[in-house]
Amino acid sequence: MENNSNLPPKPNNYLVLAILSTIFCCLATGIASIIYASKVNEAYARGDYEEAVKASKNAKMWVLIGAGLSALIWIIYIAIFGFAFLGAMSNAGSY
Amino acid sequence: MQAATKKKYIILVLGVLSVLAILLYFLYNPEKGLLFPKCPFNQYLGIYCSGCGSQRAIHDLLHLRIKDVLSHNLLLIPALIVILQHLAVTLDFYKGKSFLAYRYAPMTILLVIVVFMVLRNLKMYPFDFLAP
Repeated sequence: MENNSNLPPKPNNYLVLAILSTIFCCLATGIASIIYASKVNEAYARGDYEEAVKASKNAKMWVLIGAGLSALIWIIYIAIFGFAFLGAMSNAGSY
Repeated sequence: MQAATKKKYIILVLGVLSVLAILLYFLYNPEKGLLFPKCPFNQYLGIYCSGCGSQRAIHDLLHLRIKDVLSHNLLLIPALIVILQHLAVTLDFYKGKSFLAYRYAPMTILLVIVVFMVLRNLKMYPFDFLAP
């Protein structure tokens, strides 16, 4: 990798989760986590390990906020429409 | 609980949830009915975000209608390829470097997402194909 063999391994930048969050849920939190993922890489490439760890924590936080938000949206959604949907399902014999 | 056991549980739960989600998206068309949440971004701001159409695109993909997948969300297939390649590398199925491990991977992805989002909101040929 980059010229930093004396540093500990690069902190996780949670890029996969950030992409998933951007596609499936929350654009804003997804983009925030991608930006922090990018900061992890930049700081680590500079050799600034502390900064990379900090950015990694921020990336994780935004990924978790995104996940929480999507769970929340689904729960609210199911709470509002779930019952209506179940009712419709049990009535509709010919789907 | 030990970290390794905890990780196994998390993977198990996520696995079960993904199978259920895949089943749900296979059986029901998100375009019809109220079951699937609409993108709040689109609902309240009236513009398409980069993820808009991905639910429909997943349904299309599970039914192998590739053309519909591309028209609902052009980035879904590339995103899945990148993520699956990353998983294959992390789980040691494939020796090589994950696309996501490159230094400028986050920057590139950010750029692609932002450009995609701007283009798909332009209501003119040929960009109207990008709208979900």
